[in-house]
Amino acid sequence: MASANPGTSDLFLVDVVQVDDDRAGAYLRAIEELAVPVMTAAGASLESCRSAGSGLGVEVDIEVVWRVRDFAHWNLIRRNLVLDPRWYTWAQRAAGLRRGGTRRMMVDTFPPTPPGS
Amino acid sequence: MLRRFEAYTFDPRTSPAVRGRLRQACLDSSRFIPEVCHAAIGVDVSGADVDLVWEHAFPSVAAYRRYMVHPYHAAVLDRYLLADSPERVVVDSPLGLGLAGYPTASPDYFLSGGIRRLVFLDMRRAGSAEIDAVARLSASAASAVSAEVSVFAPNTLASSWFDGVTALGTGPRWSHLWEQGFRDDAALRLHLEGGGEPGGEEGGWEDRPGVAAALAISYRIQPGWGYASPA
Repeated sequence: MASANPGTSDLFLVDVVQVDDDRAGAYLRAIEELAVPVMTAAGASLESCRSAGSGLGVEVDIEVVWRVRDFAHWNLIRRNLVLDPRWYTWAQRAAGLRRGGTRRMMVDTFPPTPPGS
Repeated sequence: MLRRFEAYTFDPRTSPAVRGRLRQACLDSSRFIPEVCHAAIGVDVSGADVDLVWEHAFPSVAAYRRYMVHPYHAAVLDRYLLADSPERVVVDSPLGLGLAGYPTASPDYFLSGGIRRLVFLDMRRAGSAEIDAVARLSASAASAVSAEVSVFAPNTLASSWFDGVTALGTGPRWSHLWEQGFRDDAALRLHLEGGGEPGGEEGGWEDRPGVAAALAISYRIQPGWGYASPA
């Protein structure tokens, strides 16, 4: 996917969490009602939100991807989040619903950059 | 220079293995972020509700600002720390600790082994004479045989955590910090029992004018990557 900022490669905050099937709906609602307002106000944008396994009765994986420009931009967003009481509400709600998960900062890497370019 | 501490209390639901990842990330911080110097960790031995302390420093405010936007900071360290991260292993400090620190002209804090002791003081309502009195205690300890390190300073970095200079939000719970270092347990005992600071029958810190509350933590220093000399 092309960068929203020409000449740069955007940075993606990728959270993948595991949630019990009967809590997946509540987790998605928390993303919509709590995470999106506070993250967008801080300067990030929601890139995607996907789930796997919902409705099967097994543990559900939910992947949420936020787009930011770069690490300097993320630093400003992080400051805004730390100073926003809504962020702690979201964090507490999410922690109470999920079983575990991972966080990674990723960049687009395909197609690969040719050597020497 | 900027001297900096982060004190962590582990989430009791996390495993020793994932806690170990945060410990290792702190120990390796200088390896991946050249701006971080004198990084060490310690496990509290004072009984306070603190599980891990990461002590370190930055040569300048500019270096601190580079650290703040460094990928290792955002992608590795914060993975275990930020409130909304699925991999968070800590909880908000019940003691109001978290981040602390102060600017310093030279690495007077340097101690690559032994016992570190941090006395956090709430002197938000203290007058200058009361603050000066504690500063004299610190200076006296610095010249005593027991302490290798004794630095007393306002805990300014707790508020200016974003850029190292600008205060954000309300003032910190602990307005001042007395950083101490001892070569071993015996030296620490000598300091405490020898009248190096308030305590005993004459009353503790809270009986001292200008001190509303005090909290002391101590830990055995485990030096991180490259922690070799003050230079």
